Amino acid sequence: MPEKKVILELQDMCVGYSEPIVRNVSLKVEENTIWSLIGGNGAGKSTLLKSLFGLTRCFSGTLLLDGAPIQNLSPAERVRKGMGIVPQGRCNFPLMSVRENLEMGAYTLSHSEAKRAMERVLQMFPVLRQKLGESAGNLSGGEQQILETAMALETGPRVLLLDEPSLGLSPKMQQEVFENVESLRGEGLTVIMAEQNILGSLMISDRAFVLDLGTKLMEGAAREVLEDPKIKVAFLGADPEEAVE
Amino acid sequence: MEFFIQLVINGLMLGMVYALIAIGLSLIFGVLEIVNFAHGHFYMLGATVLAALVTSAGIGFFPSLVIATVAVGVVGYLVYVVLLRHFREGEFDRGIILTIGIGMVLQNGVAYLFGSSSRMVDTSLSFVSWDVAGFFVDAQRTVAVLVGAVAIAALYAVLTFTRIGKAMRAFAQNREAAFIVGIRPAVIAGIAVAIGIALAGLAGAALAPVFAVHPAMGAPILFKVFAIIIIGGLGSLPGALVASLLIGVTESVVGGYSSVALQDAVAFMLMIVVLLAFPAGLFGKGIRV
Repeated sequence: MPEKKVILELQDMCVGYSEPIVRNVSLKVEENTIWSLIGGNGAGKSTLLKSLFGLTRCFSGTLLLDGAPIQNLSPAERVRKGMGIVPQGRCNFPLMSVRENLEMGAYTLSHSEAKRAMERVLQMFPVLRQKLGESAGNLSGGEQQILETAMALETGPRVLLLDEPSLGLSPKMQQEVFENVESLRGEGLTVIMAEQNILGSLMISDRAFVLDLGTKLMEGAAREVLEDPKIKVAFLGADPEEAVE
Repeated sequence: MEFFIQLVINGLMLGMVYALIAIGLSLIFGVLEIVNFAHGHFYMLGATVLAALVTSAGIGFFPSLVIATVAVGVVGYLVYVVLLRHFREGEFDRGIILTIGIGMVLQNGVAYLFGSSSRMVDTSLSFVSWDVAGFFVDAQRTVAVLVGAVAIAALYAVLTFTRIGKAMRAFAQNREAAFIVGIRPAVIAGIAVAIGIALAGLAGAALAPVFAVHPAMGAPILFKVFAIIIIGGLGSLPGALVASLLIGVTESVVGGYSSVALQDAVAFMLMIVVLLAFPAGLFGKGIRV
């Protein structure tokens, strides 16, 4: 089987806000894969994910996209380079209509490209077509999550960062979100996803990266991480003795 | 009844001019999260530039109106680029101190260049009035109102139908989301500040032939406009428009039926009443623009 090309590479990165939260993280992300970013509360998952998009401070280290350093680029420049993010919490414009939100999602594109991009995401997420005139703030939590994902996909990112995409959703909606994420791999995207629903996340992922208090605890194939006794005990509620057996 | 209707007409005229200033202030607050304490001084600057163009340079009222508005907008943009651009989120108090300082520089600078005494501006519309269905309508004030209405309609069109206007609304509603979709904050904020300050300059220029022009004319109107945007809901443009018209009419009616001294206190009394009933203002939702 041919080796996949590395699309995103973190080299010894230290990132945070006023001081480093995540330290000395190195990682090679191959294209067209889904990565789960796992860790407990305060492990630094969101901080690391945001830093990949330039929303937090990079203290040291290098971030390469297609081999070119991007750690000093603004979020707008990273969008143009092919990155997208759906951060945790609401990331839309609540008083604007769904149509206007989609227009803003395609802000960096030309008028004709934006029109095509909007049509493309409306075909991917038909539920949005029926809500084009509604204010984004009036949509349900699941619909807003879909809208935000659609906005992130309009610029045709090659790397999509998702921060807790299933947070606050019903189990049925969570399942739909994971199915949508899985379908993105079929579109050729690379997805890095921070998730609290570790089981759901690992089930659809190719690889996993585990953070503990801002440092790397483990990295490997998603199935292997899922079977790891330490992960079972720490995150999946397994009994320590049973997990070792 | 005729007297009351006359007062309402006068109040709507006054309110429309308040709206120009209040909407500009609200736009800047919505996008930059800075309360511009120099806003009244930009109103004064617009009036001063128009007075200089009409009385000293002999340029006509309407070309002077356009020149004064653009000039004040350019000054506003430069103030943004040189000073306001460097503010970070949460530096609210620094913004207050800095804009108070900008206001003092403007007021004293104008006093130094043009003198401190009041100046009157005569135009071809001065002392002209029309009888509309039995009501007295002052031509110069009517022009000011029409100019205000056109400017507000134009701003509405920009915010609703243009990409840059939608980006301004988006930026005011959710900064992080705006960063993420690739909106450039410096560009959007610079344009919003220039537009907001140009509107204040336009109001000053439009009213220069109505009121006496002097360097200290900005401060009193500033505090009234603060009351207006608090009544309307901080950062809400429709709220600023409605509250401006409300204050304009209330002031006019109170002034007409009671003391002129009470007239200036009305805005603040109304603000207290509104805040007791609606702590976020009439249109305040905690989300701006």
